Amino acid sequence: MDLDQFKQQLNEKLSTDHNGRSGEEIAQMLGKKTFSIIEKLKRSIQYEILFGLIGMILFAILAFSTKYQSIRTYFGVAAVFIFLFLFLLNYLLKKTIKLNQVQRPVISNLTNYVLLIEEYMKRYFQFTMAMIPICLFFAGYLGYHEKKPIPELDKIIDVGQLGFKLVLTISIIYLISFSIGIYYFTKWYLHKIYGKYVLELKNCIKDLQEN
Amino acid sequence: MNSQDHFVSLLKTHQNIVHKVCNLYMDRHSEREDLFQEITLQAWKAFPSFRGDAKFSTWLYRVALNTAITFYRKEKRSPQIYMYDILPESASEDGLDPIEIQLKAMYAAIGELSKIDKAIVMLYLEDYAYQDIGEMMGITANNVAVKMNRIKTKLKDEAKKQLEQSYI
Repeated sequence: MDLDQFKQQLNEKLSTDHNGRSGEEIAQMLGKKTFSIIEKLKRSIQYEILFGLIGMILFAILAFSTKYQSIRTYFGVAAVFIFLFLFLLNYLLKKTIKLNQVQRPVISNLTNYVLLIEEYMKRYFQFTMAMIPICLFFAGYLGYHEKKPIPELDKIIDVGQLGFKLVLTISIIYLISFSIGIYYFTKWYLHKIYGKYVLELKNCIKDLQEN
Repeated sequence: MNSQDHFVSLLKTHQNIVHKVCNLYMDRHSEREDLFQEITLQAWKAFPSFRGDAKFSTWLYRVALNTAITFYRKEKRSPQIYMYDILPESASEDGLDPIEIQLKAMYAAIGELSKIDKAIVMLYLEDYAYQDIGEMMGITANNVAVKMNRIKTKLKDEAKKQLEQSYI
């Protein structure tokens, strides 16, 4: 019993087992949303650009309106950082649109998918890691060197008469643990979302390249 | 006729190709519906790049197979694909028509193949030349021939196994 023996029957069965779609049904489908992971990536990048723009504007307003030098510097730097990141997101968006071409040979399409998702994962990881020093250590440094007293911060330090050195030690331990936590969490999160899928695509490429 | 009408008319005529891919890659009805919609959408998005210098059916095969291979499903589902349900019941009285059973076994064996092997089998069943299959998959005709031989052996063994199981 081999494939050629059933070639015609198999072909017939596979192509005739359906109810058939009318032209109207097909036309209706054209307005629906796609399940493609590349489309999801595209939408995700578009949202990130939108929220990035909103964040940048808010941070810039805060930087210009505050009376504290440290807060001005912090949000000013964050706004510039987001502004630069927007260029990167725009580049990724263009690349995503350009590479999403399903009419290419299967191996090229698969390679494009893997490259694109891996690039997205890499940039997302880099951005998250770059945010840690900016958000935590830079904020701590600026707060420490603030010339004007910040009553809210002083209140926290005074609670329980902990003393400045102890608060500083606890803060440093917290910052280090948080950074390590974020590092592993981001790695796990990206792997959970895209890892298995990328692996599946890589296996398909390997399967195709095998002789 | 505008572009959308033209596309709808072409897809309606060639919808067997899309159904065939859906039947081969998905085991559940709802999954086949999702994949049909996805292939339709991807083909519509890619349609402006269809210049007409190739056959629409060949172009559609490429789009459909690319979409099926990269189709992303969030929830984990059974990796085994049995396509018994798309086969008609046996015509014989005792329900043991040998040809029908062998055909079912072959179907089940195809369901066990990898995504890439399924694509190659599908194009082979359509009588595409190795050269054309190679172009669609992005590999050489020689490589297709080697793979096809391997697939045939795999199918023969797997179908035999399925057949033995069905008689137990």
